Amino acid sequence: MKLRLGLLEEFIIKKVEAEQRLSNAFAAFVVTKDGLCFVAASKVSPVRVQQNENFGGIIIGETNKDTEEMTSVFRAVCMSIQSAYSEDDVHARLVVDMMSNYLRWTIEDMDSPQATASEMLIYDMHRQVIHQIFLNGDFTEIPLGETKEKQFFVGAYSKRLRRMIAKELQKMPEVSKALKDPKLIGPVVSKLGKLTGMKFVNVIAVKRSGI
Amino acid sequence: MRRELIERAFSSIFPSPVRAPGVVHGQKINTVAQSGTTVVAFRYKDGLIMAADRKTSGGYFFIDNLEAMKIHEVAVHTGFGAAGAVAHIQLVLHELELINSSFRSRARHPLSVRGQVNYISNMIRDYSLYVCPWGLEAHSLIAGIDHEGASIYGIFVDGAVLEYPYSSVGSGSDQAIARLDQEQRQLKAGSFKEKAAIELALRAIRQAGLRDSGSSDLRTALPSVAKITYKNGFEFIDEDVLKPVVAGLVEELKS
Repeated sequence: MKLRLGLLEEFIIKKVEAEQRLSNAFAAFVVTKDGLCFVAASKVSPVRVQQNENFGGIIIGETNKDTEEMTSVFRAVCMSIQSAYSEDDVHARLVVDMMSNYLRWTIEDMDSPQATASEMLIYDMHRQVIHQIFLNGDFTEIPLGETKEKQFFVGAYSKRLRRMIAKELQKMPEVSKALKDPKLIGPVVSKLGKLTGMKFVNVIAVKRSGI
Repeated sequence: MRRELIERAFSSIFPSPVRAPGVVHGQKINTVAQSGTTVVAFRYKDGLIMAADRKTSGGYFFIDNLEAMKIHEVAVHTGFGAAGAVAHIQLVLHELELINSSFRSRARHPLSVRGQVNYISNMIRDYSLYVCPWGLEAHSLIAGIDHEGASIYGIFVDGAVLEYPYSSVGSGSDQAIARLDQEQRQLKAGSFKEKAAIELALRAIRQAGLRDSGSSDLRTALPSVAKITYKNGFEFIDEDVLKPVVAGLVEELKS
């Protein structure tokens, strides 16, 4: 007998469909010995997000439509906070809150057949916290000082692929060395490109002043 | 981008829009509790000093209260003082406390001083444009410390914002600021030590109390003085510390 869940079923279908679209694209926040970096792979170039000195982040999406939609939302969020308060008050936690609400409502919006296949990683530089925002609106808040994990993912919904990517990311060179000699990260980038089949693979170092 | 979804997301973050404080549009107000007031604020070595007199009057006709507190702690590192109609000042104060607590709980960071000033300035401007044509009669002074350091902002009744190294608001501000101007070099450098800063604040309040009918005289009411420091945030100075200084200043007048 088939279980009917009504609206919930529709939401789950939309979520699973969006996850399938994002199955190979991914963004990871990697903690190396001497620094931090974002690694992202996508069919389209991922969007870097940077707002004042409070946080840095990255948006990935299945298509340009998805990344641009979330970038527009991000800009609108920042502008609204800036106009009500000030530029210095655009904090990661507020952005995460609003973006996650938006993503949740795109799934619950029954006028649209597809959810937005886009996810985000945001690093709060003041509190040293990494936020993952998933396409169903879930988000995490992980203080780097309180976890032994070195890799934080969004996207890459294929479990097997994620294991392979994680293994590959362990070979990431130290950030300061890679900044001096970009050739060091060449092998990792090309391997990740082959694994995911994604056209764009970007590695972005995170500094204190920004990304 | 789905506009209605963004608007719903925003509504969860920002407090509700400006509310009318029980004043019906066009209704004649017979008696208004006025706070003629002198509030001063300036920088000193460890942070900021705020001081105010204690008198609330009814349109300069009668004294309503000689124990009114005119400076308030609105956030850990922010103080607020204002002159004008008491109801309007209380509305601004309430809104300021509300946004500070809601922002802190949402963002896990305190709201910057500039952010608080900007919000109140927008609120005052919107109020006069959309709610009540004669606006909010509250000339506010917000002094606080954030990651950019100590800052003092004045917000006028039309919503204009100005930043000062030292400032005073209220009917006695002319006298108070004249006293502060005598020490402007040290005030701009923020080089006063705590004891000297408290004495200067009380001197400015004394000067205003002597000449302004809206501000209380040192001889009739002990002013309220608060300090905002990087370490401990907003703290009122104890009366035991103020009394000897006030006694000395009163004695100076007699001689």
